[in-house]
Amino acid sequence: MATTPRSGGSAGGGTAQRPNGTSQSKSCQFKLVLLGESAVGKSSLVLRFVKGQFHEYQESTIGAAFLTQTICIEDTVVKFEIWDTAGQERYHSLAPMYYRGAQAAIVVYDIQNQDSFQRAKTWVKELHKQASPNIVIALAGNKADLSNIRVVEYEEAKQYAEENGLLFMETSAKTGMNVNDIFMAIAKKLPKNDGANNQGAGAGRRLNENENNRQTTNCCK
Amino acid sequence: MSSLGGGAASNSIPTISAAVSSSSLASKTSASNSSDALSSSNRQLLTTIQIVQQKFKENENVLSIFEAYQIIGQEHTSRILCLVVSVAGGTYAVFSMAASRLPPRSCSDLTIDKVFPLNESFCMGNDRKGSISQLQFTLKCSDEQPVKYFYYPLSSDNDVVDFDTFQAQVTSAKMSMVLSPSESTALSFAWVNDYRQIGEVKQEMKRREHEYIKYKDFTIYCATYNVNNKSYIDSPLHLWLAASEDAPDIYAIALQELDTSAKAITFSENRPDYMWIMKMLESVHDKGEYEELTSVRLVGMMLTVIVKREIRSSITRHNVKTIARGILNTLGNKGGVAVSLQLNEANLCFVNSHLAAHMGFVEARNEDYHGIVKGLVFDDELRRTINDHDHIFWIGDLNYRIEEPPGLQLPVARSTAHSAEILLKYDQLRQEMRKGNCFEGYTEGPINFRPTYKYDPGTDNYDSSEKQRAPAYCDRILWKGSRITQLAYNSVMDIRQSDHKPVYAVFRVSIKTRDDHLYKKVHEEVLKLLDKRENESQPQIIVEKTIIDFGMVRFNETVVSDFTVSNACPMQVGFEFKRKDPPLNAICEKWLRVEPWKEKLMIDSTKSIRVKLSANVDSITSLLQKIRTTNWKFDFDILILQVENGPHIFITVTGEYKPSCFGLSMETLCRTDRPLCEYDQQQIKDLMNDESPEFRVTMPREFFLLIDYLHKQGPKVEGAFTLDSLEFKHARNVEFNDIRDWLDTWSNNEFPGTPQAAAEALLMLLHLPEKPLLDPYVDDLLKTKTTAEAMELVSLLSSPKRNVFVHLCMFLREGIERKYYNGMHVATIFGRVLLRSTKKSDDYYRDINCREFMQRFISNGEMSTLSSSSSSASSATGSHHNHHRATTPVAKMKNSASNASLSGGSTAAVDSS
Repeated sequence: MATTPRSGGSAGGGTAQRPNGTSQSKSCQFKLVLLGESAVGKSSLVLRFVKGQFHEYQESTIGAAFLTQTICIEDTVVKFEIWDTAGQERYHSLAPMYYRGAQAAIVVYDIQNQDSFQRAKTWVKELHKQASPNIVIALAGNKADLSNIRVVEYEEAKQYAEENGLLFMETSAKTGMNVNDIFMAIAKKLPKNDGANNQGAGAGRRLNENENNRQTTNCCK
Repeated sequence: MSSLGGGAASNSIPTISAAVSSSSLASKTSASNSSDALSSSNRQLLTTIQIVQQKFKENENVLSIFEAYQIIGQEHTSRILCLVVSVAGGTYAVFSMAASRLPPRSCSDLTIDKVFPLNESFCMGNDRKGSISQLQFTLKCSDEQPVKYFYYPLSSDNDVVDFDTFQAQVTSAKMSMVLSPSESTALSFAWVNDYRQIGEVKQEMKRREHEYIKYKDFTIYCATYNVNNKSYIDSPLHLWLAASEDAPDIYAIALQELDTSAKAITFSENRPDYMWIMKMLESVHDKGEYEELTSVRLVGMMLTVIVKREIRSSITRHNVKTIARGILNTLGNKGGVAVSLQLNEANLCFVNSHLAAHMGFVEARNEDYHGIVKGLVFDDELRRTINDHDHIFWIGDLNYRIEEPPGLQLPVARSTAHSAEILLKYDQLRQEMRKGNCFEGYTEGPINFRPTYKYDPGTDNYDSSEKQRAPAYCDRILWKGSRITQLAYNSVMDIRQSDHKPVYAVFRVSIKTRDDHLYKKVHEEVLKLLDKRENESQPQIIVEKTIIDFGMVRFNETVVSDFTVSNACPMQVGFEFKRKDPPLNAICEKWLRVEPWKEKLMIDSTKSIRVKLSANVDSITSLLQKIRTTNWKFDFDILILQVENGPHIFITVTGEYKPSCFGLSMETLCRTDRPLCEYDQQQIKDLMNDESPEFRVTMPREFFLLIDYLHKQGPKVEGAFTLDSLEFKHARNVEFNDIRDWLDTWSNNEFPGTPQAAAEALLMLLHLPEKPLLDPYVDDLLKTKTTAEAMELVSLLSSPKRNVFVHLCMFLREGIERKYYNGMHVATIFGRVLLRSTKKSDDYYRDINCREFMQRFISNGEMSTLSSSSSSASSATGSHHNHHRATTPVAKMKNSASNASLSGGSTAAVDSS
């Protein structure tokens, strides 16, 4: 869709080359995976971010759900393909299929549950070892609305995050606190000039290789 | 066209108009029908055709819709096809839409996936060669591959027409365009490009354009001058180019007869004349800063677009094109040059044309006009024609003359006394436009100036030469498009170089402009909506259960469980079990079978999936390995049911494995203190992971039981240990499970099978453990040259392995000696079992190597070595039983094995002497 400058004229070397009157913004697509112990609120965070909803009794995820959410930051349209994975330990061996190829991960723990924080640390370790080297990892201390009965101290988690180069926020899927913010922070940190990510059906697109015929997927819409 | 039925085509010509009018009627009636039907529910429900209509713009009408399935390879996906007319262009197209549910409930359920403009190359074929069905047809456009569809003859939706009707309407729509009187102008299909090859975001943004589009006024200054080969020097061009009060935003300046030399004509001079452009830039309005945007030239014609600096960035695209209409339509002395540009959201076109000259050549001028309209196509991504622009300005020396009525004494035009109004009565251009012969849809403002041709150069006097040419309004400026107001239209008498006078016109044009703030808002809404649509359109499957619990699973028994999957969405949906990562690289573990692994579910349908689990000779090794290495609770497997374009559902296959001796290492078996049937999975897992050098017995009881039985069979063992023994034929019979139970219970009953089955059980006992009996010295042993050398390595094996090996060799040796078995065969199969390669790179030579190694141990002359090694082996375990008492190998072995079995919980075998 490039313009077609012709000889015989001072070709349009102007700055704002909007092809055919569309947005001049860039468009990126990123695969993001949520990891963390069972019942820390992974699905609730996604539900809050994508649909703005919260269910007090969110069903346990038995599988991996896929949702998309597009946000605009500055001039860039960032489309997240969010894989919400089952947290139960018995499904642990399947996790690599979901974090492989992901450009971002949110590792979630429950601030009232010390074990879930320890589990989050092992997830971070595993991601550092086995996920793509440039993966952007955010640590989310969820259920922050219950901070009066917390067992994981904010400072402790913050320090751990800093030591390990993670984004960190305490979130509440229930109140919505920091939910958009953590996704925004990830979007800001993700490299937006990497050609591989900028094409719609790029590397991040779904796990299954033979899903190219997906109707709703168009490059750089 | 030829593939279409002639009958249908000829019959349907009159019906297209009917189709057009009846469709609006039809949608109205169906709307009232449905509202009647739903009046009780108090809900305004749109009909399908109304929903489809919402995908299009105001002046694009959906005439009919048809349901079909697009055939893609082996698959077919449902589509809604619709015939749409653009009222403005009078052109038709067929659109193919994917629906996320059927019937669609809102236009957001629909996505346009293909567009077929009914242009010359369009073809709706029903060539059924190789068709899977009579109900198949194809749609084809240009050079693209035909797209295949098929349809069901019945439809539940009242809005959907039947195939014959649809085909007839499409055919007659195409015919109507071919036969329409406006054939002389190029059919414009540009409107369909709004729907083609653009993503959903663009489609949706286009549809909601009215929400963020504002109109912003721009001043556009058009000017034309036939310079008659004269230099611009000293011409007061500012009188021509700066006649407006305010500084215009855009200038389109047209010149003709810049150079009419034969040389210029022959070589189609197309380099813009920069001296002229410089002069133009000097002469434009001094209240603005200007720059040249582009210029285009063909011989004598040049068109230069000059823009105010401050609006330059609002022009996002510009293209130029020329078309020759001189002799044989190849020479550029006549013809047109044009500039196309996009200003904000509007597409503008400026045309400078020099049409055929001379009083009598009216038709030639009309032809030139049509030739330019038809033939001029910009090389942009949409291949726009002149008519594909929102605002068109046609400037130039159109050469239409004033044709004075015969019988008048004095040429009317020459008299300055006559007003332009009278003269224009006889103006050919106005006459031809009235007749509809040219410039259809164009407007020209009132002319309040004298004819601009032909003057004696340097004067304001009309042609005084012999020819005494009649004055004429050759130089004109016309426009087409909405929101254009002419502010001025005049000639300039005081520029006298040429035999023409220059003309200019000033316009105020309301340009479609995007309000960036509103655009951003709508854009975000659209993104949100599309996310929502994408998320909600995900197909859902209901799985009957996500945990399949097989309960107690025993060795060599197959268990089966069925579960159902049901389609929970209003579309056909596919699913398959996802292949796991290497090294498994399959949808499930070795001990499972899942059928079918891939399936399509029609609407409201349910399918049954069968999961079979068998822990048998083929899978027990890896199953036990998984049990041994699983840190968490053990599951047989987790299947990933992957819904096409939807979620993944984990289906856990669980249960408990009931341990058996088969597959357990000699070490593990030597750690047991009771029959295997008394152990559970967890206890066996602990035993498998126990790495202490302490063993409860010297040799597995199960091994001893088999050897003992075989030994007692004497000649009846004949036929055991043949080359096909490793196919484990006995194990594939149910009866074999009695042998399993006999071994796993340390039964005192009679052996429940044949000697051959016992021989196979012995081989299984040795073959099924994760590691071969002689591990980890397999490779080293194969390199040894002498038995003594090998025995040194054997002595390093763990005591259970060492004892089993030594006693096995003695046992086999005796059988061979007594000619119960073929020594070669025994060496071959035991070579394969005991020296099994863990690398899976068994080659022929290795096989021979293994056989030869075994032969050294089981043929004559090696007795003494074995005995001594056995004694060293025994002493190594610290057992004190008396081997020297034994006189034959088997007796001796039996002795030590029985010691082992008797030793019970004690690691130290009891000396039976």
